[in-house]
Amino acid sequence: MRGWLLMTGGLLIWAAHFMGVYAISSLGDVVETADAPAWRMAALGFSLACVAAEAGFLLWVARTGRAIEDGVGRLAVGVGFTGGLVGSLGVIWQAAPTLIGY
Amino acid sequence: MSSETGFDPELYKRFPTQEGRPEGELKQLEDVWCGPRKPWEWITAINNNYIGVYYVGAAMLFFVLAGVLALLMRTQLALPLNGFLPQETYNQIFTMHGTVMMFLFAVPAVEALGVLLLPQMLGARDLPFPRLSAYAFWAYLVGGLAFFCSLFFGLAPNGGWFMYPPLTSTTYSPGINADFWLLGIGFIEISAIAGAIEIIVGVLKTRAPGMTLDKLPIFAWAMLIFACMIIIAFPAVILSTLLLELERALDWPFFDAARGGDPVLWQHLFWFFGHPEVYIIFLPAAGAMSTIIPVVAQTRLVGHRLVVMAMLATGFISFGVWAHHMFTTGMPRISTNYFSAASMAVSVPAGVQVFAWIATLAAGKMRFNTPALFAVGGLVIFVMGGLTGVMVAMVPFDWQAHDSYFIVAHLHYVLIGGMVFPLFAAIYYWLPMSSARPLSERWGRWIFWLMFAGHNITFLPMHLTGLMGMPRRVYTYLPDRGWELPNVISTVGSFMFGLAVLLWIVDMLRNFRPFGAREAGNIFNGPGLEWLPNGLYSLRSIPVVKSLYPGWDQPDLGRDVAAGRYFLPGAPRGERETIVTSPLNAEPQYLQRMPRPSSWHVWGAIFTAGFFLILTVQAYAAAVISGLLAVYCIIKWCWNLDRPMPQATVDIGGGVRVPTYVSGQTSHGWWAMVITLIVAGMVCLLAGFAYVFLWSRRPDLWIAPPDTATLVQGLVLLAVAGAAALAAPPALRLDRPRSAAVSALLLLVACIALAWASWIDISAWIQAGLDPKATGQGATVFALMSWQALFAGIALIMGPFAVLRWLFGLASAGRSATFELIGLFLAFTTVQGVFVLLLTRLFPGG
Repeated sequence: MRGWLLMTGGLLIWAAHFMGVYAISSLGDVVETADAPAWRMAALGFSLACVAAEAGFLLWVARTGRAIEDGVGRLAVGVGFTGGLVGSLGVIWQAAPTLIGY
Repeated sequence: MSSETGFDPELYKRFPTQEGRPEGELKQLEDVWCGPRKPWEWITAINNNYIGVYYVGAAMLFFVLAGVLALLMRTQLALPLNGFLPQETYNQIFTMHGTVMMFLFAVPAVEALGVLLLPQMLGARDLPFPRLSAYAFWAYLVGGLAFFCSLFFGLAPNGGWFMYPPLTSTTYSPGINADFWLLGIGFIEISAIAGAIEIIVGVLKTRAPGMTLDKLPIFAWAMLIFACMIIIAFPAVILSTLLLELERALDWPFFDAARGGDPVLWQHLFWFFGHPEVYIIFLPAAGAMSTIIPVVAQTRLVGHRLVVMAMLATGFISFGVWAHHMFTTGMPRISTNYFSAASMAVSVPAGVQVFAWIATLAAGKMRFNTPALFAVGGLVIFVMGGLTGVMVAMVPFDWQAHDSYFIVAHLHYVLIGGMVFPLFAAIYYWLPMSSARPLSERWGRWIFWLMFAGHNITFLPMHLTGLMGMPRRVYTYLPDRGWELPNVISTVGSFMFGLAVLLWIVDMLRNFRPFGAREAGNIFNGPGLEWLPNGLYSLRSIPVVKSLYPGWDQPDLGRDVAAGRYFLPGAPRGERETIVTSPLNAEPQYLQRMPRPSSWHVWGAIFTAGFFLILTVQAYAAAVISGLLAVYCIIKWCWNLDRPMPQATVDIGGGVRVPTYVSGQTSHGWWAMVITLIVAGMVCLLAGFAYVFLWSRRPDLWIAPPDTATLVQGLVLLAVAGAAALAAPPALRLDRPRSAAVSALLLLVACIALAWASWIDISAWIQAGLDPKATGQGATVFALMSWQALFAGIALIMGPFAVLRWLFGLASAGRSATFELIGLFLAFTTVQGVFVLLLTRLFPGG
């Protein structure tokens, strides 16, 4: 399980972020409007939490990578680290609408 | 990472063994894995070498049929105000073209490629559930042909391949045309899911020893991710087709805005499946490209790990783009932009793969044979389609191009470049392995250039026709709009494409002729295990894999494998067997007894298809009979499973001994059940989404839930069911005189409690005055309860099945797999019941 988590963790955080901001804007749409400032800030706060989670994940992968020597481990760390980078960029990119407001 | 299972990798050093093999060992292996000897055995065959070829053949048949429909459409559109096809026929033809290409060709074709290639590529004798593959194939073939034949009776669906309501509601589509689509496609997707389960368990559990994840062929990686995506995405189309059919048949208003439904719900559900579907099709093709390009360049894939990451990232991000098909529906602008951002982001991992392929071609020395031409041609076309994809990911541009021929051009560039050309590359590349004869190189070049030119001549002008304002799905157009020339050019191109396919068919017929030499060998110098000498039993012995490119890095591997110097060199017990290994490190875990050919899965598939198809024509009694016969066949099939061997452990070669029977998390059956339950859970979760979504549309129409007493009763019954389901397998494993009886009765109690809980919940809502025909709340609550009741109904079949196995002496501590799987299913049904109960009673609250 740890191996799979290493490989997919960064992308899982991206998926959680995507679903989260979509759910927040949908809820905002029901209660007020989807792009009302309070809901945008809630989505931005959630995005910051996800960026922090991505950073934590990358740190964990980097630390784990130092102790790993076998082929499967190296693959998991390599895939996990690049996946974490892509996930981080994805989270930041998708948080842009919360700042711009549309 | 340390050993997963406690297996000592030092044991691999015993291979290749040096002692001679017993006389007659190879003959016995050939006899055990023999092919059909009597005519009907061609139908009951289950070996992947047969089912895989049948599967690819059937998919290509549907490709040709849908291609003929495309030529009919292009003939109609060649001239303005053309009268070649009547309007209604045109509507049916464009709907069937899209539907057949997407559902009956694209997904089955890549799944078929997996069934055909994976066992040899992974070093397994066969995939772990060969009868399931065969069942999936026959269900797909029978269902697909019957579905296609609806065209000849004017009964084919005519609402477009994505069947948007309200156009497809009974008001605007009163005939049974739409029902054919809804029941037919829903059913065919079940067959696709069966194939995906087979592929996931196969890739994770039946690899050659030593084939750790870092040595897993890139095509197998692609197939693994592809199958996981099917498990997550396809439940959405199963649910959406189910809901629309319920609306049409029973008047439950899921999509009727006047009664609290919403047609946009269909779009959410359909595209949650529909857009990942594009990547579901693309990933295996990309896996084939990542396999073929290093071979044609005779060098290793540049950036192997990055390509694995890119495929994983594509798998994830593709689930965040579904609403880019809905930019014009009036979604909140900020939500639209989240999807726009994801749609642009998904091009990054696709780009990583494209650059890896280009770098590999640059690093090696490319040979311009036919697979290489198709691979590079596909790459060029896919990149062009990807670029227009980024354009339509931008909301303002999409508003202009939406529903125009620009989109038709874009999607054909992506799908033909991303899937059709790589598939042809794969056919040209792997056919010498599968049929032991290569296709003609000279013909292949002609076919490629005709197809490449035909594609571009057809679809490049469509960008312009679209930008000039020509909408999709029109059967004709007026003259003097400037659309005549691009349309006639597109038609000429489409016939060039058709000619290429015709030449390919002729070459394929020549290839499969029943006479002449069959000894192509490894003509492309491929490095995978599939290129080692093989037979119907796959490889003579299952090697220890030490490299990502064993054919290039392990000299003498082919000779030693063929001489039986590795694992499982024969079939000493006279059984079909394969080695099951661990998911990460591929350490040998146990010996799986494989099934022999039988007819039960074929009959099961025919009656299952019959149930859905007869339901379409509203012959309910006949449909029920067909359904009952299908259930009987499947029970008969399951009755013969779970058979331990007389020996508890066996030597699989080199003195390595493994068990012959396992149950629980180690067993392949447990994995398959878990994946099946994930599919069911996804359907339930999405139904929960539909429930919340419809509440958000018209909360004023919702009534208060029934009293709390029935909620408590339901929860107590579900708790009893869950406890009994969880207690049953450990009770059997206690291995006392009455263990089997107690365990079977516990399972029966769980089944009854589940059914009772369902009954109480349904009764309570009826008494509370909820009418499924009145509002969106009624429709979704009854849909959720019906889904749970369906599982309780299946449980009511499983409970007596368990009791019968106990009565026949087929349940014991050493034969516990069936009871464990039934227990797992019942535990899941309990959790699902709790979810349904709490969601419908507590949200949005009384």
